[in-house]
Amino acid sequence: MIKVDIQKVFPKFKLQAKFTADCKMIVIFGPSGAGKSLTLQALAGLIKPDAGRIRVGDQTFFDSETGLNQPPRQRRIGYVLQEYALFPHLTVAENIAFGLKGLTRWAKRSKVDEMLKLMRLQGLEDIYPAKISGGQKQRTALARALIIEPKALLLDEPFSALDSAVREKLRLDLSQIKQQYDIPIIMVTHNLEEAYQLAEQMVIIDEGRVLQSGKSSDIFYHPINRTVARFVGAKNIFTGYVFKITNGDTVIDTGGFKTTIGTRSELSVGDKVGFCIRPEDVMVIRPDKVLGFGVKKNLFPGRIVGTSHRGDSCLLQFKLEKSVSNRDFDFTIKLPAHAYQRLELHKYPTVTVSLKKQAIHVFGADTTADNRPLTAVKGTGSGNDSRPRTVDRR
Amino acid sequence: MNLTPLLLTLKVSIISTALVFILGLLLVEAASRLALRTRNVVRLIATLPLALPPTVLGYYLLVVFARGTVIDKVFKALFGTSLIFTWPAAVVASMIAAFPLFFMTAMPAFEGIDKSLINAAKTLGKTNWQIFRQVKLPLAWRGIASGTLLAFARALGEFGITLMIAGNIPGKTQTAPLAIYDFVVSGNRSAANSLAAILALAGFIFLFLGIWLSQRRRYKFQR
Repeated sequence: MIKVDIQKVFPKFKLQAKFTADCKMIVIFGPSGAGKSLTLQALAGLIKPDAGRIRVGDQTFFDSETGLNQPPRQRRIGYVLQEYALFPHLTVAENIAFGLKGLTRWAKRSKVDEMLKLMRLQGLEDIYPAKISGGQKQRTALARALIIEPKALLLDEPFSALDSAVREKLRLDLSQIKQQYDIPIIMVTHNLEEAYQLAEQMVIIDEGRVLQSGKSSDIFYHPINRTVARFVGAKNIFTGYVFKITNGDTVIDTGGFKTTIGTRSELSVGDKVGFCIRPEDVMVIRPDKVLGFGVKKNLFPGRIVGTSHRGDSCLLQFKLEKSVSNRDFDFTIKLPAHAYQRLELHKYPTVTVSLKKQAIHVFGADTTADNRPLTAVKGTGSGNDSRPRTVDRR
Repeated sequence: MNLTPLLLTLKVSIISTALVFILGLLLVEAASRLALRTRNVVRLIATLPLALPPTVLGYYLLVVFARGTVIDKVFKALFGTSLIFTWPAAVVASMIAAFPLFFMTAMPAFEGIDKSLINAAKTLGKTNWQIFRQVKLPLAWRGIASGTLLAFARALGEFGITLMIAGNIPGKTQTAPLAIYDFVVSGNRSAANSLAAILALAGFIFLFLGIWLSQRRRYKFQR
C-alpha cells in the first residue's frame, strides 16, 4: 500500500502529487516536466515536500503534521535513476555490493553472486561501468537497488536509454523481479505503450498534478478529461452539446457531425459534453459492403486523406464529406496491417466510418484542462499527437 | 651553508599544507552541499587572499593578532604565547597564502561529481560521512592532490605575509625566502644564488606535478 499526498512549491513549478496504490506495478505516466521524477525523489526522500504525507506499507516516511521526515538512508527504497548513476570508480560487483552493510566478506560475496546470476551479469564483476553496455548498466543498477532488500523499487524512465531488443528483455526482467520480490514497483515513463503493458495501476500526472489514477484499462477507455484522453492516445476527441434525447438515445452535436452515444441518464438536452473514441475503435466500411440490420446510426461518409504505416498497424486520416473543420482530417483510424491490406481502401474514392456507441466515452466538457490555451498544452512526447484543434473548440 | 632557513621553510610548509588540506577539505565538502549562490560567496571569501597584496593581508593579521587584542588574549590562553613574531605565525602566513590555491583546485573537483551518484548513495543507506569517504574522495582525489601540491609550492615561497607577522628573525622566524632577501641586501650573492636555485627548483617540481594531475582528465577506469 502506497499513499502519497504531497505538495512542494518550486520557483517555477508546483508539485501536488496525490495518489493511493495497492498493487505491485504502478506506472506514473505523463509528459516530460510533469513532475514524475520529482514524485519519485520525494518518495525516496531526496527532496522534502512542503506539506503532506508519504506512506509505504505500514511505514510513514514523511508527515508534515508531525514533522516526520525520514532521511533517504533509513527508508530502504531501491531507486534506479534515469542514467543509472553507477559509481564509475567501482567495478560491477563493487557497485552491487555498495549498499550492503554489517555482513562478513563471505556473506557479501555470496549475496553479490546471487544478484549477478539473477541479473545475468556473471563474468562482468570486475569490469568498470564505463565498459559495459546500456542494458548491463541498467541490470547492475537494478541489482544494486535490490540487494538491500528494499521496501519498494523506484524506476525512473527505465526504458528510455535502451534500444528495442534490450527493452523487451528488461520487460521480462521486471516481471521476474515482480515475482521474486514482494514489493511494489513504481515506474515513471512517458512512453504510453510501456505504461499500458506493465501497469497494474496508472497515475496520470501533468504540470505537477495527478489528473487520474486507476487501473490502466479504466484510464485508457474512460479518461476523465480531454488532457488524459490525449495522453492515453484517444486521438479522436471532441466537444459538443446534447442535441436531443430520443428513445433513451442521446444525440450529441459537435457542430461538424451528430452522433448517438447511447443511453446517458445523467445528461439532458443542451448540456455541454466532451467525448472521445480511440482510433482502433473507429470502423471503416467500404461502399460496396452491405450493412447489416441495425447498423445505421453513427455512419459518416468521407475520404481517406492520409495513410501512415506503422509496421504492424496502419493509421488513416479521415475527412468527413461535410466537414466544417479547417483541419486536414476529422478522425484518426487505426487498423491492423492485415485488415488494411484486405480492405484495399485506395480503390474507393469515398468510404464510410462507423462509431460504435459502446466505444464512445463521454466526459465532462468543462475541465480545467479544457480552458488552457492550446499552446500551453504539452504533447506526450510521441511526436504523433493529432489533437483535434478546431472541431472541438468552437 | 646555513641550513636553518631551509629546514624552517620545510617545517612551516609541511605543517601549513597539512592544515590547509584538512581545513580545505572540510570547507569544500561543506560548500559542495550549498546552493550555487551561497557557494559562490564562500568561493569569493576563500580565494580573496589571491587578490590582496601580501603586505595588506599581513598588515591586517598584525592588527588582529597584535599584543593586547582579544584574539591575542584567546591565543595566549590556548597556547601560552602570542602569535606575532614566532614561527607558528609563519605557518599562519603560509596557510593564508596557500589556501586559495587548494580551494580553487579542489572545489571544482567536488562540483564535478554527478549529483545523481550522491543521491544513489543516499538511497543505498549511506551517511554523509560515508558518501564523502566512499564516493566523493575517490572521485575528486585528483583535484585534492593537485590542490595540495599547489598549496605546498605556494607555502614554500611565502614572503610578504610572513615578513609582516613573523618577522625576519634569523634562526627563529627567518624562512628561506626571507634569508634570500637578507643575503641579497648584504651582498652575499653566492648564498642567495644557491638558496634561490633550491626554492625555484622545488617550486617548479611541485607546480608541475600539481598541474599535471589536474589536467589528466581520464581515470584509469574510464578508458
